[in-house]
Amino acid sequence: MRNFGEQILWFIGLVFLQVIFFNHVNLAYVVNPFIYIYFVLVFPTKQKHVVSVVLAFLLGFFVDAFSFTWGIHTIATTALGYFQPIIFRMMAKPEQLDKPYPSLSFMHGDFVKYVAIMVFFHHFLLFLIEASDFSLILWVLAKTIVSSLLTFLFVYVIEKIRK
Amino acid sequence: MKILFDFLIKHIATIVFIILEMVAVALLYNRNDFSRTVIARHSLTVQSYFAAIGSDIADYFYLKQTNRQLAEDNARLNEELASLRAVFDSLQCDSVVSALTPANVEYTPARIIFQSINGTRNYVIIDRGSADGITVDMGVVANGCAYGVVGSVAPHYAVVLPLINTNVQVSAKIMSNKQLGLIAWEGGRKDCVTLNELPTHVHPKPGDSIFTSSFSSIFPENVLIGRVSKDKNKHVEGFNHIIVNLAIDYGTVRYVAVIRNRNKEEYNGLVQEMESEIANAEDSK
Repeated sequence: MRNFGEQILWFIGLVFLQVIFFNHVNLAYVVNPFIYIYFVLVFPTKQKHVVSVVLAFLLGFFVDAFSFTWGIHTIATTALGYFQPIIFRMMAKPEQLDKPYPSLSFMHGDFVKYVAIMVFFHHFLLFLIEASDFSLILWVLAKTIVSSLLTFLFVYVIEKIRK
Repeated sequence: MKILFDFLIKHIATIVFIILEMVAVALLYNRNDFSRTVIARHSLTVQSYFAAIGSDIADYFYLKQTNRQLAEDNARLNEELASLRAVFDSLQCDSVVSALTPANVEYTPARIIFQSINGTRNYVIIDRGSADGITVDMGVVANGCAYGVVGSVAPHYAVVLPLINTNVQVSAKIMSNKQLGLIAWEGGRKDCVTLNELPTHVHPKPGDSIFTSSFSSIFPENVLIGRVSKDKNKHVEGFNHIIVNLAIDYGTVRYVAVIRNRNKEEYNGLVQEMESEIANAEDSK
């Protein structure tokens, strides 16, 4: 995502991919990948923090609007957008902070750890809000883990294709 | 003033973050009002259009299953027809025949084009809408079993809330003793619901059928919901809660039928009249 135009294309593409295809993927009622957060995962390193928050909010809002799940994706994705630069700085090595955006091609293992944390954080928050019941916490955790694995897999595939 | 300004600039991201999260939480808690707004209808149409494309493709993969379901349905209907014919033939008296009222329910077949049944507030979109005479709160059946209730409608699509939605409640009765209760879903497993508000002395046997009751205008009487499960009952605040295995498998259903009750308006009119009378009586006290 070198410039704003490319970012908008990714935004639209990922929302549509999520709504048309990935929303229909639900294996055994548990697995539910949310591939659209790839947009947040590869936010430009130099992007202003407030821009990240607003873009993440818009992303969640559009996914919500097309999935009729008002608020659920918006809350989880806005939080993800806010914590993205913080988690990235925690996970990346100092020399990697100068790169234009997080990527598997130069971060390797660090990128895997970074994506794992981000995806788990987002999915857990999302399923917890959706269940809105702490007594279902084990169910939420199970869903989070299996769905995160699938989302992670798709992120990996996209990264491999982009390289 | 400058200090305040500097503070705002420095923490602008956090401030915007908190404001936007508040907006999102407001969205979450007002979703029922919101889903009736123009934006929701608009996105319903847009998404349904794309969902229909995906569903067209997916339908081919389910042809075998759908065929089997239709065949089963057909067999069941034939059986019913045969037994009814036998009853009908045995009834010779004119007075009995003339007393048979015409069916006051009408079925509109529809196809499921999108379903979200992973969460707790599940919903399904079907390819019929207000243009086909579908309105909110109509009952939906599949393979002769209770499926859900219409939640909102657009011109050519409608959102159906399945029984496995924490906001849906349906009046039901137990086959063997005609005891009335309320079917609700508490989240978790997708193949069972609970029958609530039963007196504690009622202990139906596992396998006993649960049907819709005549106490609602959503479903006609005697639509199968499921069977009493072997799992243990719960006692909650003086009521017996029974676990019911659903007759429907939400994962495999592709076709449903929406029930239109021709006498619904009449029925609802009476209920409203009664309620306003009660309200007036209470006001005047």
